[in-house]
Amino acid sequence: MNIVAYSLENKIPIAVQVNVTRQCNLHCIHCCVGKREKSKRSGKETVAVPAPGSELTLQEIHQLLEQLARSGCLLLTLSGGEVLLREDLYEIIDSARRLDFAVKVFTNGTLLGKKEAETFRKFHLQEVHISLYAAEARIHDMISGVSGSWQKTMEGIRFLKQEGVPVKIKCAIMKQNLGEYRKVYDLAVSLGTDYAFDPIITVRDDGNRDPLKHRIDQEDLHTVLHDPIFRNKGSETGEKNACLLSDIIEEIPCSAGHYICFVSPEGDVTPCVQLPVVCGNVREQDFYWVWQHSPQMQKIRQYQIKDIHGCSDCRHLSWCARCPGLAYLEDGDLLGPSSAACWMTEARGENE
Amino acid sequence: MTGKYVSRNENTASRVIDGQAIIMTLGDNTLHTLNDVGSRIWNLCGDQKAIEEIITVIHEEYAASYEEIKADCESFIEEMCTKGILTLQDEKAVGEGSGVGR
Repeated sequence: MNIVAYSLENKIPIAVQVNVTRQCNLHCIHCCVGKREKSKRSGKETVAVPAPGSELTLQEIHQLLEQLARSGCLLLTLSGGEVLLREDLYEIIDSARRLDFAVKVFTNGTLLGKKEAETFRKFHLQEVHISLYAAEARIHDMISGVSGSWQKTMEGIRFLKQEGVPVKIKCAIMKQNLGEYRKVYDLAVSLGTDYAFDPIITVRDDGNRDPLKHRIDQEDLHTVLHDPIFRNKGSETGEKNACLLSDIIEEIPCSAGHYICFVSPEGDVTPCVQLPVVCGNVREQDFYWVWQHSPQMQKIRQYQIKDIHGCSDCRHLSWCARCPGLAYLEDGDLLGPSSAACWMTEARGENE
Repeated sequence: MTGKYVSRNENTASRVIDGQAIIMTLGDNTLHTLNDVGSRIWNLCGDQKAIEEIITVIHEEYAASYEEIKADCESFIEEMCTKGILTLQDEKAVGEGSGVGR
């Protein structure tokens, strides 16, 4: 059985990401989480502290997980913000594992001590993804906005490795760490972790475009995309491309709303973390109803590649990895040309 | 396998869709799909079961001789153990579950 084909055919949300909080203890310059305010303590712009009651409670998340399981979801990603800032994170993971999800956790790793790593091991997680921006502490801390964060992240990675928890180091590539990603690769290899690199810095989920100024330029992107470590193994982008090129989904623009879905900390259901079209809210509707019947989700599902306008005579069309969400967020048109895709595809070149 | 017990490997995740079990072994992120009988055995293994108990249930539900069912079940369970989907135990477990979250 091809799980993607089966999920597509039967409209099963096989992979769902749930962001359990917007709170974070880092202030990454490229972060895509919106709703910002100036910290009274540090004076830095940071993610606004959620209003009491705005984020889903443990009980609401438990109900959501039951609905996701009934909908056929198997692959669950828990992300944030920083997930470990939720005091009930272990209860959430416990609930997810009791419901037999394969659970991935995205974290910055700074709050992972030996005890936390031991608990993670007992949950039998599919993988823990940790953001690491440099092999040099100074550069990582400059990007994360918090002095000492590199040291804590590295300790977190080591604790997880000691416990045998599968770890993937994820490194967003931007101007500030362009000279570091190869060192991060060496570090990941020496630590025995998986790794992924992604040069696509996105706008914030509230539409703020500030993070885009950190994107590397076209020439550097060309160099990065032709780096053997990027070509041979994996990048977040590479995985998306492989998916887009699959024969099974050749007629749909991407997997959003077809077999993947996203739930925000406030319960909003959108087809993908990068496609902020709100289709419903799990505080008001059952997830399965939103997935199956919400007009917005059905409309997203109707879009086909042939509906995309402005790209039909592009010479890069056959290997373009256009993301409808990025087109919507950055360029305001879900079905129009995507400046992020043009930037990537032109740099990748025709022989890819 | 006589006298042994079988249960789901804790290092798995699964979903049963339209009666068909889809199982991910978390060590290698591999997806396995089971046929009707395999999915039934997977469901039975939600709690630890004696292998004889599984054979008896399958024999009651499927039209084949006991000996044939026994051989097929034992072969299937052995294969599932090799793939890290099921685990064998010599003794009946005490209490419910042995790890966090399962």
